[in-house]
Amino acid sequence: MAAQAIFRKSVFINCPFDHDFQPLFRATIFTVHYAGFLARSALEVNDSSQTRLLTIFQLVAACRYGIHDLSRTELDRTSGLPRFNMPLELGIFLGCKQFGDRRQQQKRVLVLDVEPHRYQKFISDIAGQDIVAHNNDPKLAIRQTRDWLRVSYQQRDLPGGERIWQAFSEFQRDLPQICAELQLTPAELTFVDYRDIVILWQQRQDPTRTVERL
Amino acid sequence: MTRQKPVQESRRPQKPRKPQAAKRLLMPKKASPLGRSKIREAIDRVFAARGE
Repeated sequence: MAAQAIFRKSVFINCPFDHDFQPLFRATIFTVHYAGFLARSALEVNDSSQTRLLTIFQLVAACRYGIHDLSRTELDRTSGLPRFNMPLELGIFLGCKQFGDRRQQQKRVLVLDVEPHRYQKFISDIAGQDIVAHNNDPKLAIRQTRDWLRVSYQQRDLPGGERIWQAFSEFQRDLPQICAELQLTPAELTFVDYRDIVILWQQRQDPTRTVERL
Repeated sequence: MTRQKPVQESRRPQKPRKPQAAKRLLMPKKASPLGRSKIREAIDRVFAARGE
């Protein structure tokens, strides 16, 4: 795929990578691909020769869309400190949109949080962006992501959130068996493995889908 | 006496070149190291086991 096409289809997913968040992360990846986009994450880059921040810069620049989840800003149990990576990456994304070239100015942002309006207590400067709540519910995260992508891309024929949730439930039923065939467990899948399984499973369900040649 | 043409600038000033790394977009990592054909076969077996 050409770089410009990749940019138009790429959705940067900025979210926690912890075990508790995985159901929401995986539901979001599934929805992004169901809607015909390409999920991107810092987890796809495995290059210890460059700093993580440089990886984030490059990834942000390569994505037209950004889904930023601010639901894990509470204090860490062990350190007693809040986690700032997600708000920082949201700031980088917004800065890139504001100060970047014409291509970067096309960026679109969705901010997710646990509850509506909670963000106003810790990051009120982002008022006016698309900010929606998922209540830590993958089904709601699917609906919010789908609705936002539909409006952002003006995709009129995208099925509703309920249909995508149904497909995701079917996928989750199959995933352990697919992993067993690959001699893995679902917990062992890397981001890139999971993304490829999603792409190919969705294509198996609907052979009219095109599989991105990365 | 012929009029002298004004001295022309030899060339237009060149735009500063962007560093290559800044222009290049980060392409997605290639397909999973598991291999897409292997994944496709695994998915096919799961669908077949269900009779699809």
